[in-house]
Amino acid sequence: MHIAKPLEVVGFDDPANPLNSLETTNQLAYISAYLRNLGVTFVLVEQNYFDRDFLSEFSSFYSLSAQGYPNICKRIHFFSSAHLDRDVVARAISEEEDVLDNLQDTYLGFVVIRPLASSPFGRTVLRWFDDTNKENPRIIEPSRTYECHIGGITLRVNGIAWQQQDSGVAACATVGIWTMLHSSAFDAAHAIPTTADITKAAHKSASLGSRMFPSNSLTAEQLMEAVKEHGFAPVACSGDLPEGYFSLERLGATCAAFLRSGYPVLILGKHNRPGIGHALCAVGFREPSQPNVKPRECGLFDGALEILYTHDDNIGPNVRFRIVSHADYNGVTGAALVHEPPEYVDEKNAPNLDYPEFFPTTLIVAVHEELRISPDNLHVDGHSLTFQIGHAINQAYVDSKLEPVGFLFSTRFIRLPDYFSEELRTILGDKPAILAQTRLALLEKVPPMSLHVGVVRIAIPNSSVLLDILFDTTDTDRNRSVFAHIVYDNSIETVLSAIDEPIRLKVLGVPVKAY
Amino acid sequence: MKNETTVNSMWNRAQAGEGAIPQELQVSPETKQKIQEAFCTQPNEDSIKAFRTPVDIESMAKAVY
Repeated sequence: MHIAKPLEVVGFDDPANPLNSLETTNQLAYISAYLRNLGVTFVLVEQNYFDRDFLSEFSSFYSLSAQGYPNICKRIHFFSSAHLDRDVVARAISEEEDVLDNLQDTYLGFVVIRPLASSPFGRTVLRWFDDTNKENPRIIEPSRTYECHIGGITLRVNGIAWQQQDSGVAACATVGIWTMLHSSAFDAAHAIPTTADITKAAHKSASLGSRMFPSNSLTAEQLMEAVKEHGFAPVACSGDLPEGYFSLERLGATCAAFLRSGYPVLILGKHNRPGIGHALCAVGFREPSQPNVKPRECGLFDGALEILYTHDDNIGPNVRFRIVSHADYNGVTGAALVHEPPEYVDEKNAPNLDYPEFFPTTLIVAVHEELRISPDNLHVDGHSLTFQIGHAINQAYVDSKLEPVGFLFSTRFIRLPDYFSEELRTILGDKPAILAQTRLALLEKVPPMSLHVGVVRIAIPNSSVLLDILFDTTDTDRNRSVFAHIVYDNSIETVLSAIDEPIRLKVLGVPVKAY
Repeated sequence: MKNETTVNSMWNRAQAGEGAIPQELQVSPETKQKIQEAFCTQPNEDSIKAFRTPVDIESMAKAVY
């Protein structure tokens, strides 16, 4: 029988902190270093915590083991407050507002510790580091707010859940799918499955004789089946170089297009050494600096992406990787991910990890069922339209005795309500009359649009956004259906109005003035 | 021409490009014809061919993760 145990409040370095009695692993080194860099001082330990994910793992596997595993976990909450003890916690639980606010302000996240000696890290959500780089912000669209309830109070942390693979119920790719389905993009209508649910779903129709538990590994086909079983559509992308490796531009642009849309990216590939494959889940990236684009050329804004943040079950959450072009141990070159802590990490707190570079070969992404066009095709169409529009504008430039310019484009998927609200507010928020005019035109003059739209955005480097083109995501890639194009500049309209109206309507959709 | 602001992001800090293109842009009948032709021109396929890579089902079925 379980017995009642008190909440414990101890210093992070106190031997009573449950982290300090775990076996030394890469995960422990990374998480400890991450928390130290966040300024952790104290921990609050719930010694009895029933974790939904572990209960599911227990029910599917550990309950039948002769080892007699308990079904209960510990949950550790981390704080950066100058002072924390039981009295402070009691005052917070009594809803003393100032104390509660301070607890929330200094809350860094939580770790569930499973009763599994070799893989103790269960569901873990840690706060992101403050983003100090305003020029190249961190894009963490898949993150969501998690609520932790302790004795009637609620603590909130923004992040996305990570856990360690246990190889009993979940392999690295299972954990990646599990993180993927935690995304903010899926908040509205879907329950988050446990890792046991994912492994069972992977075996439902693609098992081909392999046993379900213990689960050491899954094939890419099984992973996609698991995504389908949970009501989503799996999108797969293969590398474009020999050995199945990716070019830098394709890896960066594809990951960015999904991540901007709130979809984490499961990256399958191999380490730079012989052995089986590995999977990690990209959950964010740092926006690249603008690429140089020569006059008359069009560049892919996200093609220059350099930094990816991933959940790697071999390391931990929010792991920073640099994307580089490297040769593998066979001399074949492709995009590789190299673990690189950020510059602001204190050297003495940097985890010393022996981690070989990782070569991605396949991307798998769970998207909404109704999103049917591929990001690859959106990039191809975006490139083609940017080239044509740029070519047209440059004709007018040259005839007006002006120097021709280059153009940039970027793509993403977005829910239509979010485009109307957030996206248009970002770009037109300081012009309320134009914002209203644009929203009303989209609502009243454009035929009914799909719930998700593909957006191709075109800009001039070092200047501003010229045009958004909204694609129907419910049609086929081949049909290339567009709903509308939003024109942000009067002079662009001068150029576009020179196109025959039926052609303009077919290629760019209904024109909407946003100036 | 609006050049004073560097729009590093095309999304979360993007700015509408009003004034980005010179107002004095001329579109003569001859230019109009060239603009029409621009929409019949395709870019160099090499610059985007990476995005036309088909999914490699065969190798996906072989590897485990």
